[in-house]
Amino acid sequence: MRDRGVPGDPTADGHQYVLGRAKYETIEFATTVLYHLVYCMGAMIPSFNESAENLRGILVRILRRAGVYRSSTTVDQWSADVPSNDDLRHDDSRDLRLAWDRWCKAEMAKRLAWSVFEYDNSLSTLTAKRCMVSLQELPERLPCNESLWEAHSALSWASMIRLTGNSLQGNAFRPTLRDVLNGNLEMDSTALWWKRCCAQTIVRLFWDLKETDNSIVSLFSPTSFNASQTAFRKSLCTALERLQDSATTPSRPKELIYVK
Amino acid sequence: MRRPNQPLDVYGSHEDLNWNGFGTWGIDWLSGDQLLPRPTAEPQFTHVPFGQSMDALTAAAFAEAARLADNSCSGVSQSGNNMRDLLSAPADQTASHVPGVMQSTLQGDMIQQTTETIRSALRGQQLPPDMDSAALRHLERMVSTFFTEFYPGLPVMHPSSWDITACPTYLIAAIACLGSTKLHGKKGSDQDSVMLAEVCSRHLNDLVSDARSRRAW
Repeated sequence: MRDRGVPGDPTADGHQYVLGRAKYETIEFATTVLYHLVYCMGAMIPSFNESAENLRGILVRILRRAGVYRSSTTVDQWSADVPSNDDLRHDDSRDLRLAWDRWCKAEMAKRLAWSVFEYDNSLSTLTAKRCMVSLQELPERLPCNESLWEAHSALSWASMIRLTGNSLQGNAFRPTLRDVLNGNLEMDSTALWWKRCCAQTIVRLFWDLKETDNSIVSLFSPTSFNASQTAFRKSLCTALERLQDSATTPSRPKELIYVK
Repeated sequence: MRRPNQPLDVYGSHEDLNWNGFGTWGIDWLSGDQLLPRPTAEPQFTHVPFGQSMDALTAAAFAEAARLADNSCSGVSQSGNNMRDLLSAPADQTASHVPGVMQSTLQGDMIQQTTETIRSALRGQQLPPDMDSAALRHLERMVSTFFTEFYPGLPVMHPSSWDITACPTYLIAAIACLGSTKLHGKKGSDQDSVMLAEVCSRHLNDLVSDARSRRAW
């Protein structure tokens, strides 16, 4: 039997904390790590700050092993379980319930992936450390509409799908980002979390450019190398400003936190 | 109202109180409608309401302690006040000369006991079905604060299907810890937040370490 008691803690016998690997690589565990990291970074307690730095790597690794973060060559197992809008049988309550449960699990994993990316990106920007999550690993889809996520039952969830036409898979990320960069996105009808995901990605692109600027490669590169990126950098700045300016009209009270 | 003129260490964990916000706690604490628990030699926490009532009672005890301290200095008699009579009615006659401090210490013990109850409940894999109701209410209040204050920025969990009785304790601890930081307004350095963070950290470390050791075998 392992002894995992904390020195000086008379109540710690360690046994009750042991759960095993089956509980290790789960979405709930990863969610716990994310919430714990948020506390550790905000509490300004040195020992917790160090713990947060260690747990960040573990968190990303869990999501990679769980297939939430994956390379483009592997199959997206999470999305495979999500039914399409047309497959839903609205007259069968049991079938609806099963579909709702499957969708909730997949959606939770996707939301966790985006939340961890935002945390990782924000922390890297604030501390000038390299990010751990690669842009290539991000989910192909953005989080689903909040009206579906906040449905209180399978029946209300199915009704919202039928009446609003919102996709169960969520909007595709890369086309949305491309529309943001090109100025083609209809900002008023776009969910604020989607805008935030796009803004974080743009910030990440800036970070990558800064890395290039500061790297030793820039010492040997010709002047034309940096000059060729000027237009791209301007378009990134313009897109970021456009996203910021659009954060003025929350659709729900919970979105007030996004409004500038 | 001003803070009682006593050293901080007398009040211990009561530093979390909002000294200017008694009005929001929902009782008229000067009217004497809310009966304060009588001090006993061995206080039994389960006999005392917690949550909002607990805060109000604690606040009233501090308020009365401050008033008594003032009166003892100025020599003004306050006989006839119901709340003061309650406070100065000791179960142990030998302790009648320090009723306010006694009340404060009693409430401090209760808060400490609640913290320990929550800590022990979160050590298992799930909340025990026979968990003390006062401690459970306090835990649910921290969880509720999380959903109000933190969830909009981190909407990961599915709120409709989330059930505290079916949730793993490590996730409850992480959620309650964030809620506690906002509830106490001490930037995460309050007793509840640190305790919950420690419990959560132990769960995480044990799970990860256990997985590593199994992989090594």
